[in-house]
Amino acid sequence: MNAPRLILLLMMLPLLCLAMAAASAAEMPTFMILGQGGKLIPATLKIPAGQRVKLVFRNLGPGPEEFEITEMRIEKVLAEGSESFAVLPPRKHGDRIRLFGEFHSGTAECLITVE
Amino acid sequence: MFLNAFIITWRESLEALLVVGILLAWANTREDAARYRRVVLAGVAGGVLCAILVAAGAMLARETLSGDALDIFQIVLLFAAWGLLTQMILWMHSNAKSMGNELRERARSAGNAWGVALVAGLAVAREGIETVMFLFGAFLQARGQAWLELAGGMVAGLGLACLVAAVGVRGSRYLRLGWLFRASEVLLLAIASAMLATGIDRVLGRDWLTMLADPMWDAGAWLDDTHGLGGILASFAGYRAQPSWLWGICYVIYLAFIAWRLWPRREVVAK
Repeated sequence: MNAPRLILLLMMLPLLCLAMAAASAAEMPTFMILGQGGKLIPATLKIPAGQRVKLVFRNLGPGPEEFEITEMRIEKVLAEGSESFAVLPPRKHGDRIRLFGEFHSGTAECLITVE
Repeated sequence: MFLNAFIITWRESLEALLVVGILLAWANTREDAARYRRVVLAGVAGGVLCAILVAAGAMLARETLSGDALDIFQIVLLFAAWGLLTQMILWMHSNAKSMGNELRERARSAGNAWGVALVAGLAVAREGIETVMFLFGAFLQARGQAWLELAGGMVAGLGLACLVAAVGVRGSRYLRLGWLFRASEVLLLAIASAMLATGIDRVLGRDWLTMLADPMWDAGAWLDDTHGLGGILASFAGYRAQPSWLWGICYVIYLAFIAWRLWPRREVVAK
């Protein structure tokens, strides 16, 4: 088995994921977070413990924004008017997570509490 | 504004320049060092161009390259960079050991020069997209004084990152060649592992392969992956305190593959 071929196979992984995306339609708690005028709305959020949670990010601008949770390595860079999402792995009761807008760090912040 | 531009440019470009710096240090170990340095720099230029085009596309063509499309593009870029980097590490390893036919060697290295350029380019493009988007947006909104502060922050951040990389590459010349070779192999392997872990996080974040998303264990109490040693291991080797099943499966397969490819050759040399 030669290495390039195996690596090519490994690179198919994202395609495989795409195929499986359709299969995973499980509903989960979903929360919307807006970026607007250098702020995140809402500024605080409560999410349930022990299950996956979907965060939907929408950037209303002006300008691009990067939605980031450092400790969970979530970084979503969004142009004005764009929308995307991230699924958080299950968290323990009492965990606190800081979501912030990296392009407006200092003002754009949303503190998430797990309960 | 100055501080924002400075921090974002510095952080993103330092990560890309880490890969570029190791490649340059490695290029210096070769007989045809000048050629490989050019190859790496050509890759960097290509990567910057790619980052600008993609970021411009994301800002201008929101309909076709919206948040989700950009996200998927970044994931594909990540796995492509990881695959190429792995192939390059294996090639570097076999290249150091082989004393084979010179002609065949030359032909192979011509093909692999492209690989080196691509690895440098992908590393730069991946980190560059976010920086370029930030700068685009900030420059569009900035007026007068703020514009100057932005430009200052950008130049300072990029300059400092380049300086650190340059000092690293210069300093590496004083190391023993064999040691430098080993070190660049190990570092690149660690970076490739970190890329794999980041890619896995991104894939799970999009709710793909959900059945493998649950954590296998929680080692957060022993070695937290958010700061300190655990944080460094997470950023540069893909360590996770609460690894998902997908992480476990991919890591076992990947490390087994690397071990299988690298170990027998060492034994042959030892004989």
